[in-house]
Amino acid sequence: MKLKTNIDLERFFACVEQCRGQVTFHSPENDILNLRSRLCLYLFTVAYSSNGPALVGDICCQDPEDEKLLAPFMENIENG
Amino acid sequence: MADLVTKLEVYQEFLDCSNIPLWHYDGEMRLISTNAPNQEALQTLFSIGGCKRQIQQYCLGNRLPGFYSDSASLIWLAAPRYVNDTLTDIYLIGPVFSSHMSEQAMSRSLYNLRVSPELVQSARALLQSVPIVHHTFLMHHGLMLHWCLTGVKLESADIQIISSANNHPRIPDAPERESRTGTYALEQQIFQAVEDGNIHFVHPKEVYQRNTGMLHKTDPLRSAKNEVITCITLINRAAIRGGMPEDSAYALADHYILLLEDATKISEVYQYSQDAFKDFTTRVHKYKLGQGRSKEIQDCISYLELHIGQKVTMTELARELGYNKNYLSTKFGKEVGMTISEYLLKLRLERAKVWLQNSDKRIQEISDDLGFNSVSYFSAQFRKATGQSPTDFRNRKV
Repeated sequence: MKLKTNIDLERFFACVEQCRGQVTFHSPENDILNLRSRLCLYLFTVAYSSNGPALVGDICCQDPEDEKLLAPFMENIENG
Repeated sequence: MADLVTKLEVYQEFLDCSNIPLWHYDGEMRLISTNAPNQEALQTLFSIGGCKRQIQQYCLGNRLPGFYSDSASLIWLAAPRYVNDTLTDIYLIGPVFSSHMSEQAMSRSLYNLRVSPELVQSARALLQSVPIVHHTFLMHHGLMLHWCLTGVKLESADIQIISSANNHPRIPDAPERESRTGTYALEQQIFQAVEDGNIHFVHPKEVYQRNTGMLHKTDPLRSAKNEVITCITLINRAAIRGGMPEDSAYALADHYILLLEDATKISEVYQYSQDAFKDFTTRVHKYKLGQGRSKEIQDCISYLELHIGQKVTMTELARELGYNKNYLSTKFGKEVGMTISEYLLKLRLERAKVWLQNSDKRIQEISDDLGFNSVSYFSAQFRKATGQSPTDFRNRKV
């Protein structure tokens, strides 16, 4: 799932917090950040703020149900 | 209102000197303004792990400033502003680190993540922009902020610790049997309060500026834990001196030490320190009451402690406290088990031991300062009580 541009990070993190399985961010540089880890959230925040609203990368959910929760923030899944 | 705006402008300039950001939120925690650099990133950091939510919840129920630290040792201080019982504004200062160790510990963790060095470098740059402010100074900034908002002057001890650890396991009522300049003197006041069971004791404000040193090379949380464990250990001894049974005191200290070992935030650790101080002091207070010491005798002991270096006559003591001389003398003997002069001598000799072990005062000076008529009388009394001369006692110290 590709992350949308211009997302509200606070709301995104709140949704990640509700996920049941692991949620990871994969950057084109092969960095993998576990978004359930606070330290990785810091890194993700820094990456997001230093790349502006156009942070490129994929989000992977261990639990398929979590994808629905994060859908509003993804490009290739219809909202809702 | 204009007055408030002016005060806050001056306050903000003051904070700018230390590069500490100031944030202004409305009562619904919507950002109104900030002077923070990296505003978006810092604001997002502020929301991670429920930090923002916890601070908002705190402000909804409290009017005093609150201190918050997250598990990465980033620290914020929040001050709510109420108008007609409605929370209208929340002012926030931070984030700050309390020591270089916090930033270094976090940087080390970042390197352990095995992500690209560029990303780690960006994160480090952000972390390095976070100012390092010792928590006692942050407390003072909080006091000033509260004064700007309300015109009310607080003590450092009034600043609350915002913690999700309020639900920590309750300490049972009856637990199962299981020189740095100035620092020492300040600590002694605290331990004396525990020993006296003085539940009305107010921490002197200098205590928040004391330098307890670095108690761990790299980990600020561990350092705070070590500091508080030491403090609890000493409080435990003071409580025993104050009459608390040894078994109960050791068991209670163990309870607090085990609890704080599980703490994941510096604020939780300091919360346990405050809780332990209050708990021990209250228990000593109860034990003293349980020993049947009346108010008159408590007053008498406080007076003697306060005038330890002066000549105290029975007549003067009775007059100062407003009691009949014979009545006071008899009652003292009955409740304490010794005469007033024996008690005063014991008190002076205990103080002499502390000075002999912890100061460079000459023996003549100690004798004079403790109100002994002559150094030979002091030495004789000291030898009688301890079996050693003051000089031997000092030389044999560990």
